[in-house]
Amino acid sequence: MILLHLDTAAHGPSTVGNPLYHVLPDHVPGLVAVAVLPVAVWLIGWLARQGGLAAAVVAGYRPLPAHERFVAWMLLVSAAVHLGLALGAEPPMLGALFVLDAALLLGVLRRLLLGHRWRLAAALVLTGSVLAYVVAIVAAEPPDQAGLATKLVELAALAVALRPRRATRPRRLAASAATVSLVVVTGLAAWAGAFATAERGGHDGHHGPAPAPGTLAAPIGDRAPTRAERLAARRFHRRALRGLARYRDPAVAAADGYQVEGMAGSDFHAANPRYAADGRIFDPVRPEILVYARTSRGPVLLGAVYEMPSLDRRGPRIGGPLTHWHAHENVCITLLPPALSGLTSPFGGCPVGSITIPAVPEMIHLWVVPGAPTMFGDLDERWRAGYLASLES
Amino acid sequence: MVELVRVLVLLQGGFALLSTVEILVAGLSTTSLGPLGPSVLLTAATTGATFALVAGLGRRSHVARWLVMAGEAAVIVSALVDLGLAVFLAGTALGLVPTLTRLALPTLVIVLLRRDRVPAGRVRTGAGG
Repeated sequence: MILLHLDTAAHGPSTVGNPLYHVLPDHVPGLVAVAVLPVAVWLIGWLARQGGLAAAVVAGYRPLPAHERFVAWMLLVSAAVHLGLALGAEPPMLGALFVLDAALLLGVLRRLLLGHRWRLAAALVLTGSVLAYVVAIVAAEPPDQAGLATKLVELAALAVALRPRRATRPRRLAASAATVSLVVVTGLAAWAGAFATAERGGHDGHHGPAPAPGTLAAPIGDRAPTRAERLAARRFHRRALRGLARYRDPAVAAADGYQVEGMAGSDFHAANPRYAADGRIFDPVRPEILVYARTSRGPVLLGAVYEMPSLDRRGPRIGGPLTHWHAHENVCITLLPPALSGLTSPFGGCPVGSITIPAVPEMIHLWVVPGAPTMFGDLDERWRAGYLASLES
Repeated sequence: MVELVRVLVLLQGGFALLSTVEILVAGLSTTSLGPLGPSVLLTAATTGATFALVAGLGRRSHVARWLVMAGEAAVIVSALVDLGLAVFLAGTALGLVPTLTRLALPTLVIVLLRRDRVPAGRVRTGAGG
């Protein structure tokens, strides 16, 4: 499976994001199939004039109520996607499963258009298709925009199919609960799959061919740093250690412009708008952000974040693979009050009252805690938790 | 027509519930729920309101119809704000799924509601329950 995919325009062609927010190249044929669907529909309309099955299909479609017409279109779109995906799917067994899914979807569509009972068949086929996707993305396949859009279409059709014809209150509630549960399960599975993809891609969330959801990074490959790069990285780190020591006291940091108010949690980022706008790039003693952890003994300075001033500028890789910069995409910022509220949901939204920041400039973490396993980049979560626990004891 | 709208709004309720779970997890795993408290409450309240509107649509409530239309308009406006940010900040567009859920779906709901005519004798008020 190729994990490199269409990139955001902001950070250049060498940058890679998690498939969750992009379309995998091998899923493009599915979208192309949807794009040519109007031609197929026009062809059916033309054939209908000659009589036969096409005429029966068109005659069956016209009297359908709005919700059944909707289901018909959703089934057709999903079937088209699956047929498109079957082209060139690897391994061939996967292609065969796509064709089988498309055939089942078209079978349900045929029942609907020819006036047969269709709801049970639709419920079974669509539930099976959604659950198969859930299992696939958790186990092996990266969730991407094409897959999630297809499941969205199927969930919409399934929601109609599950509505009971004789609408007693318990039945209606059960149908609603089933629909909502499938939406939530699919969304949570997409998160699990996206993080699992990053785990499979590398030893941490930033450096693999597929970084963690919301992270953009250029792949660094397996190249080891040169001696000069190692020395440059160590020199920079030493200067930062000396310069940042005074910010162990948040009051000093506040006096220099860092926003330390409301410090909470183990990964509090105190930004300094003044340093962000001072025109200095990667200055070891003037980082744009300080990272603190709140402990029972008070605030602990963990490290710093250096940020580039704009999206189109790449950070200096003074240490080669040791100084691996990354950026973020699809970041949710709540306005009530301004704070990071997460990442864009697999179904496309941020929490209510939030805006979506499409991409932020490149940044790099530097760690100042004694014994940290790395100077730059991701700090191992287990190590961080253990270190903070040792301070509490 | 309203039956289809109910289903679509129900899906949006599912998205909102997922969003509530996500912001709770984000708050608990990164910093603390404190700064995110208002956002958590607003997202959870929106989820509840969405499900209440599904019920209101089922009773052919006139108020529910208008509230749904207003809500969908708000979703479209917020999507357009995010689209503007994407275009001007990063030179990109909304992703495929956000385009479907935040532009196409609410537009479809509004179109369907505007096409639907409520029989005068069945109009009720109240969106609850």
